[in-house]
Amino acid sequence: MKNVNVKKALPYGILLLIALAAPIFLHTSYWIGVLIMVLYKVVGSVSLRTISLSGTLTFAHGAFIAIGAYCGGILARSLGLPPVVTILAGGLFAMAISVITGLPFVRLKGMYYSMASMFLGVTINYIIKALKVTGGYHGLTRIPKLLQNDIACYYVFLALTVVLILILYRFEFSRIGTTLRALAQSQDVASSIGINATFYRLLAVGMGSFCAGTIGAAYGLYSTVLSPTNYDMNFSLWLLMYMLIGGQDYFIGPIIGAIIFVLIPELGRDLSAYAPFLTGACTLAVAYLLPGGIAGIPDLIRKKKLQKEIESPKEGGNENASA
Amino acid sequence: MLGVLLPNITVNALVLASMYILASLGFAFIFNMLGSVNLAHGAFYMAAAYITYYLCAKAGLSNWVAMLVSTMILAGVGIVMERFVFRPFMTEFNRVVMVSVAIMTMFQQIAVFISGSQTIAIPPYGSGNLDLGFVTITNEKIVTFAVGIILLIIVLIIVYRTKLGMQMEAISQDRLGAALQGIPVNRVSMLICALGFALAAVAGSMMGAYQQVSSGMGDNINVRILMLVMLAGAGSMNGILITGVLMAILDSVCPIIWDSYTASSIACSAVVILLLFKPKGFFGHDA
Repeated sequence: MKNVNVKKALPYGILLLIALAAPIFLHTSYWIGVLIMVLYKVVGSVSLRTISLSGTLTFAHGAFIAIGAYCGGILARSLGLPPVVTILAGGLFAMAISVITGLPFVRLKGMYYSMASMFLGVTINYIIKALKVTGGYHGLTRIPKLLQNDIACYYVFLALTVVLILILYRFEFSRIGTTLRALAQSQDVASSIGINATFYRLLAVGMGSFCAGTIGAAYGLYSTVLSPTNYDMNFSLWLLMYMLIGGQDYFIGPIIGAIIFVLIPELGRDLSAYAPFLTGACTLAVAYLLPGGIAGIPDLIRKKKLQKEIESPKEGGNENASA
Repeated sequence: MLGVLLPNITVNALVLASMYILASLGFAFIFNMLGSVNLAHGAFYMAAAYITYYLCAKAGLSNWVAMLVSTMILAGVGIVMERFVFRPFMTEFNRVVMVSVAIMTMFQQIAVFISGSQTIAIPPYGSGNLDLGFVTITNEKIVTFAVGIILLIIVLIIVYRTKLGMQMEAISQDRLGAALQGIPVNRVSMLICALGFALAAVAGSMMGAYQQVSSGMGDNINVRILMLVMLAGAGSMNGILITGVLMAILDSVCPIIWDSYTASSIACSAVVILLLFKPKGFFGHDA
């Protein structure tokens, strides 16, 4: 039993060690920015997966990150509140908005939910561009910085990321997560044994949006500038892609996806213009060759091996099957 | 004031409506027949505009010929997409999303390479004005609208009056059942995909002249297409005609009253609220 736990925790431990040690090698302010971007997208993508647990993809996640970022940014800029308060406020505000708007939306099923959430995301983005308090199209500037030291900023971010991921992990592997998975398999069956589908899906939406808003607010405090064009539909789509490419069925999937795809454009400065082709090609390769995503490779190999064994039974195998 | 505005709004709305409907028909066909959400439809629309622009500006073809060529190319692309994306991934929403987002990203980057930040436009299809006394309409708008309406009538005839249209309807209702009746399911899907992509190409080429060609035009139309089809409801052809006009009216009236972002947010909010009360769309049925 203990062995299984160690095996499960191993990849996360390795990732955490790499994350802890990374600033030693990549200590320029540019690379710290990249690393923080990785953490930001990891949390965004993992929290998106929490919402998707009940079987419906959401396209509005970028918008909720934007809501958290703007809420935190405005509070920090105009009222001068400390970062702890503004980050939490961003998360809670994003959660509140997502629950209010989600209340009617979560009743929709499958693709209809996805499409409705896409319109919701687009609408929120347009509203941010139209409002005065958010700085309109030009964005919000002069937000007080989280910490002056970039490396300290990074470790604060890492701590926040670890806490949020632990929360989401606990959420998924609790009774609630199991219920959500049951909903994904068949909402009708789940409802028939007394599961309140709307409530549980709303819970997932609220939880995911809270984490998204929190990390969004933290990123806003780090970058000190918010531009609505950073939170458009493509942003939401790519958060979704990290999850799908990494592997939707695995908790570590979106983490792997986000790390790989945020780092691809950083491989070389000259390469960054061609990065979309590289990411596109990777996406196509995963879509055609790896149905379970990157995190599903070990399972795929195991399955292939098993299939081979079944097809060519060894001497000790079950010979009655061929007879 | 209103006497000048009203005819202008009507003309603009009609032109926009015909183009929106043309662009979204292909999406609706694919959605109804193959159950795939082709998020890259806007990207193909954009690609068609770029091909037309390129053939006009660099190869020196007349813009009608260029439009025809780009329509043919896109029809070919439609056949390829049907064979390699929509057919194998028919029941897998996630993988269609992945492929279409990958295509979208690549096309957008190509568009950025070609046009950069400068604004480019396809040479206009018509020049001069038509003065009706109470309102002056540019011939450009008349030509755009005429092309749109003629193609729409042709498509409606194909859908409602020909064997191909009936086969398509049968496939949308029940793919297996249609195959059992001896309908060449795959061939019909391919033809209809080609038709849908060709219509999007025409719309892209016309809008590239009417407005401008930019790397963001795909995203804009994508949102419109999705809204049209969702509002109309799955499986509804007539619904698209009505919601297309509705959307075009919203798009031509709102920018006069508010600034463009407020206008867009109000139009989008209206659609979201409508969807809340009618999740299956106005004319949709359970399917």
